[in-house]
Amino acid sequence: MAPSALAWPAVLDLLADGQWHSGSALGEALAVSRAAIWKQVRALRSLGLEVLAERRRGYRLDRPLDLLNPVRIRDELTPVTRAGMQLLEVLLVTPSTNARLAAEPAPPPGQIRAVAAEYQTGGRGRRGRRWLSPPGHGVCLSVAWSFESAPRDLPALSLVAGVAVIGALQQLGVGGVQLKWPNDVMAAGGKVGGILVDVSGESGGPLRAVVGIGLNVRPVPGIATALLLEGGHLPAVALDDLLPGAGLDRSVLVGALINRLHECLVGFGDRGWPDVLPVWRQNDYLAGRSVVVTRGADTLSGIARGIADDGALLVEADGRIFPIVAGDVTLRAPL
Amino acid sequence: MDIRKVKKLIELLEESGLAELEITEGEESVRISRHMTNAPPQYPMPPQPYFAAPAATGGAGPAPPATPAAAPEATGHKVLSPMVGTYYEAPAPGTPNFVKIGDQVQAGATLCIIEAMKMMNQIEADVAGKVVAALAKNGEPVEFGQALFIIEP
Repeated sequence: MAPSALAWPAVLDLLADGQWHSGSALGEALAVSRAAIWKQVRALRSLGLEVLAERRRGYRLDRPLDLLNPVRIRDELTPVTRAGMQLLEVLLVTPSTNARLAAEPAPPPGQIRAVAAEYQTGGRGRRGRRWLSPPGHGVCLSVAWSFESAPRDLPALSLVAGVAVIGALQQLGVGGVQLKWPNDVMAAGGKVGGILVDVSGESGGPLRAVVGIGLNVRPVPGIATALLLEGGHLPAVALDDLLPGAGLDRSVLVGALINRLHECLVGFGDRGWPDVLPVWRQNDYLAGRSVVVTRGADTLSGIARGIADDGALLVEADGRIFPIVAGDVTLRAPL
Repeated sequence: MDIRKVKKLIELLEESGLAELEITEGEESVRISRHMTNAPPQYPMPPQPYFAAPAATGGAGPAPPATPAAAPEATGHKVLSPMVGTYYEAPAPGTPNFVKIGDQVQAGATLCIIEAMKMMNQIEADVAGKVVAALAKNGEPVEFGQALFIIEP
């Protein structure tokens, strides 16, 4: 079954407690046949969830799942952000939260549209790498925003979104998070998440930006290996690994992210990028590190020297500083 | 080269609607451009407004823009890259291209994506017409002002 064709399987809400539920009890609660329950369980497994089945006991998830909850997300929003919300949608599965918002009409200026999903079938990472995270483990959030005209510093928007992520995480007590130019969220020597911005608009006209954020929240067994195999070169780190005690409430995290993104988008439209540039610089993961920049067939090896006022990465090589605006940046392996 | 001659060339450029003019005379050559060609090759942003209509198209109207003599293949409207970045012909790997040669497109149709600083910029057709050439290669770097497509209005 193609996960993209899935509605939210109702059985997931019942199984989320991590307890055993018999097939007949589930069927009764949802008023469907046991065969239909079995079909939904198979669908959950196709999303990477571990659903245990035993003949006498029925079904259970291998551990309780805290699913994204639209009411709890809304409760987290500041009055200002709540007043500006035109849409808040929470989905189980979608090809991509960015694509979903990009396919809809742009919100009117000042209004915000947000889509969060438990799972993306077509989530894009760098160079089209898949973002792998089963339901209940990560956060996939996209926010659409319209600028009446293109902000002068528009290319810095990915960086602005990074500052919003740092702010939301700090608010929830997650420190030590840094930003790897242009869009990776880093902590404890690994990658916690990433940011992808889609922009469209006509010449000189209004401009619609969709800011997508993917974060690892709960550790997923095996995902670090999968990411390394995909060539990311950076181990995956989950936010819960950085916090002692109980894990983050993902709904609270989504709410905090929407608040901060809203704040940063308003500020970016009004005052531009200089507003958040100092925060970005304080959290620059690459500064002082040996890097290799690859762009098409060209490579440049040097030392990252922070970012320019317009957001370009500065790389020092052969005694010169090169501003980099496009390309992939990897850390040079220590010799 | 005589400075008066250069001045004349600048005036010629102003009148013509061309983006760039290069003249070689013996061992001397001069290139005059409306864009900042003195910028370092990877300079992030041109000083123009971000989504400004490409200067080379003049009024961007249906009138065929003047074509440089050196580029005889350019018989239509050139869609230029508004930025330095990486060119993508499809929304995601493994999905169909936004457009292919021979497609009839409306103004505002998405032609490609240019990625810079992890921002995916949808580049839209600024005229309606038939796509007669796709000039950039998927995944390859493109420069500011580089021609991406030719559209026959």
